[in-house]
Amino acid sequence: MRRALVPLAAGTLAVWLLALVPARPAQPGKRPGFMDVAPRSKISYTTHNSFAGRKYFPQPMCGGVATFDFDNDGRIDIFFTNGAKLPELKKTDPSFFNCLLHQKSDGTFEDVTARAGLTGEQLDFNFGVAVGDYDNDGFEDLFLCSIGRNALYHNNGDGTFTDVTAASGIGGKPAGTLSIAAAWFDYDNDGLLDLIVSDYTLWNPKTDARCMMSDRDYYCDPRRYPSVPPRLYRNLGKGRFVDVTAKAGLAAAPGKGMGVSIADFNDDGWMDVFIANDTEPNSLFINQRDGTFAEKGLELGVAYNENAQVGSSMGSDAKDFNNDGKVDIFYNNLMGQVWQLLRNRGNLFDYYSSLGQIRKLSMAYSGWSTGFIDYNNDGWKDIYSSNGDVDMMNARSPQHDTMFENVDGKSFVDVSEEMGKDFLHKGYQRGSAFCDLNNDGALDIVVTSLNEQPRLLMNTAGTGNHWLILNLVGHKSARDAIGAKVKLTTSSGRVLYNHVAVSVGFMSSSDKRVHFGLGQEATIGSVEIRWPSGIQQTLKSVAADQVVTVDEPQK
Amino acid sequence: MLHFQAGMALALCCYAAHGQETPERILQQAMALHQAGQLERAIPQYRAYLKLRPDAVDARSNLGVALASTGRYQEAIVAYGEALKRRPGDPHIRLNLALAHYKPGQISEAAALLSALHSEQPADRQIMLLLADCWLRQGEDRKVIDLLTPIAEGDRSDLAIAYLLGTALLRDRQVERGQQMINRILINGDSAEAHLLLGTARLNAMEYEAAIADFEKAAQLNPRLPDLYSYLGRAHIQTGDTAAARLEFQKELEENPNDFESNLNLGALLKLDQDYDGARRLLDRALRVRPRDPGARFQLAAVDLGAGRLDQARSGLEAIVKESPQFVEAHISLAAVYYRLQRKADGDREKALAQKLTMEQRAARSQEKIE
Repeated sequence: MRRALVPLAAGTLAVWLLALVPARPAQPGKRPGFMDVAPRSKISYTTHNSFAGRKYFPQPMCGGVATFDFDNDGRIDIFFTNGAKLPELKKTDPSFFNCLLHQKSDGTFEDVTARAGLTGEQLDFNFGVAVGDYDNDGFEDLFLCSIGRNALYHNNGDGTFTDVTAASGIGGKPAGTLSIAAAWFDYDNDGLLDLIVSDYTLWNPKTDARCMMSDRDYYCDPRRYPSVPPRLYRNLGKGRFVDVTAKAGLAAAPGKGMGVSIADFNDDGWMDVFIANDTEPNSLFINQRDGTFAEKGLELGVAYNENAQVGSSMGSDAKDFNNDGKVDIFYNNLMGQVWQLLRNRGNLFDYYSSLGQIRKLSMAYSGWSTGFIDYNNDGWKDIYSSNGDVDMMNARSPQHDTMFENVDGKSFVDVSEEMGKDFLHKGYQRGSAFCDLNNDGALDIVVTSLNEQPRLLMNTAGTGNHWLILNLVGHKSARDAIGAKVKLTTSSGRVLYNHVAVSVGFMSSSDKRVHFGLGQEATIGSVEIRWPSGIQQTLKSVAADQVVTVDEPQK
Repeated sequence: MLHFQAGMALALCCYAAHGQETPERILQQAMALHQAGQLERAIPQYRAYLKLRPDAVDARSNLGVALASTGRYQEAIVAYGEALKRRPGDPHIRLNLALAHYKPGQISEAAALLSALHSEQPADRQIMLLLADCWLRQGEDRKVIDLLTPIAEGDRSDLAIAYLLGTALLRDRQVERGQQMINRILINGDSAEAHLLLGTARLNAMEYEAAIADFEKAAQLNPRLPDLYSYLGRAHIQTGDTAAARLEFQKELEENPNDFESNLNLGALLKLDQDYDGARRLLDRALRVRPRDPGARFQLAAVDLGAGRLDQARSGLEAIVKESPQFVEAHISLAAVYYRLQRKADGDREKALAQKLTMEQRAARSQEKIE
């Protein structure tokens, strides 16, 4: 269903209503939960890391997820990455294949991997997946991270994808580089999405260190392996990329990259990059607006924890948790370490995990993918984490996911126990992506678990809170508008912030649409958008409880 | 320790019988009040007497005892110091002086005095135990082990020795020997001391919930056991329950305001809550116990850094890295301070140094594992 909505903003913008969902009656105080709807569909995909007694270093990192609409039918589809047979490093049989699930009109999913050409049988052990329309043709493309060759798949717009890695020039990297995650963003604001790849170390099965205790394998400490820098590929247009890692100043900042988060941390209109580094200082690459970045993690207070020590930084997300207009950072950690919420104070970040109660809530869990998600549409972004220890050592190793609810932008409470039995599934959860599977305005979560089928956690909603989802379409900016900043002011004057972010958590890509929970407020005063191109746009009289597509104006 | 000399006491009696306000009568009144427990009234009498008889060493020592008994330790220290000027080397006065330092938490000073006394009187068990306790508070676990191991073998029934030595052994990760000390205490039945030691062993083994259970059992049996709440606080920190940790540290400090670990850890927690003044107060107190402790000094510098007192943080951290050049975290924090002071070259240098040290320490650790 589409109908025109008259915009009051300057410029020649077009706003379409994609879906209009009536507001539910208010039920203040009731928390929604999550129900796994995967069993409604026939899904053959199982995250397969090739564990068979012998432990190989990359095995704990398996099962990247992307939630995106690959065929532009208005319904979210899902892509999963998968492992490979070890030590052969080959997808020797279909159990290791990647998987594309197409959402049908009845809300169930069908496996269209083979038809789409995305099995990845020519690849090896895949980790993360990054979704982005790098050629601005209106169809989302895929970049896959691997132990061996990374892969760029072009979306042909007809339900199929083509591996264009070789022709694109994006596949180059030092041999044996473990590429874990990647993020599309337009670092030079030229309207073309560039790509940063969060690389971890150099490894191959022959150099795999075997760690044993009492004749039992355990996964070795990452500090046994060298650090490597992330890689940046500049989009030259026409499907060509060039490696600008050294030129952009990234080569001098090695780490063990896990989660990668894109945001404009200093609000200068240029996208910056945060990378959570496992057992190494985290990196914060501040865009110098001249094609280079300055690594300022230590200077700005995000490289280390409050005792100047490194942690096992895992997944990350960068959003404005307290709606003060400044983008904050969250990254999770392993058991016994504090998950860090870093509050952006403008020119410095401060440690907010103690003040925000995250310290107490987090230390019992080993977190992997994570992200800010306003799961109850109250206007405050909550924190989700997919959990499970690295190794399978004891009863505390399999863990359930956690939801830390944001209380007025000041502190967090653990509401996991109220999220339902499907949410509380214990295992070794890894990738996760946020989206609105059924376009009801309540955010859902897709989660992978090692050697298990994924969960499609549908938000039971029912809070009665209102919402708005914006699908921003760039024209001067890259079509995906990654990084576009949105300020929403409700009729009562409450101000909420969000931005377009796809790389969320660990090895995963979330739906690019920008979500706002509005609490009990059903009317919106204004929506102000700052596009990556610098163009400012203001929308008035936008109704709540709908998915709205907004085109970038000419100026 | 009140020292009365027989002769002097007799003389005082005679003067008292005459009822005259002579210096000796004043002293007699002071001592009578002292013995009767009326310390606040005895103190001015001692002072009045000492104005008239400034070289009366025993009276000065008694004044020190009275002052210390009322918690006026700094004044007591002055009184004992004056007494020692007039009778250098007196072991009783030196022991009292050590106690006057020990009680308000001036552990370094107390340890120095007790160490000298122990050298002169190696068989004195009271001095030895006090010295062991000081060293334990200073984190000098190996010294405690060396000091007490010889007598622990000879006297297996002394629970104080077993407790002090057991604590030092467990802290030094000598778990098996520590366990032997715990067993000595356990033989005497379920005791708070035994649960404290068991909890300490579990804390070291990172079994935090079990450690908390043991500490809580110890608290049921003897809620006034020294260090107990400090350990409970530390165990709660490891579980992330900083609110509970804060309460336990506060409990410990109510009993023992100068407990180093409680002041340090509570100070660090207040720093995280951005209560920088409160944190500084506690860390200053911790540093009175262990003035050179690099960890406490680092936390103090971190407080200054958090509070934006960049020059104070810089000078503190510069001093730390000068004295402890291998202290990686201090180099990292110093780099952050330099960057914020716009001293990029200095920041880059410290950052590089921290990275180099980290690599060296990792290499050394992996070498240890190989060996």
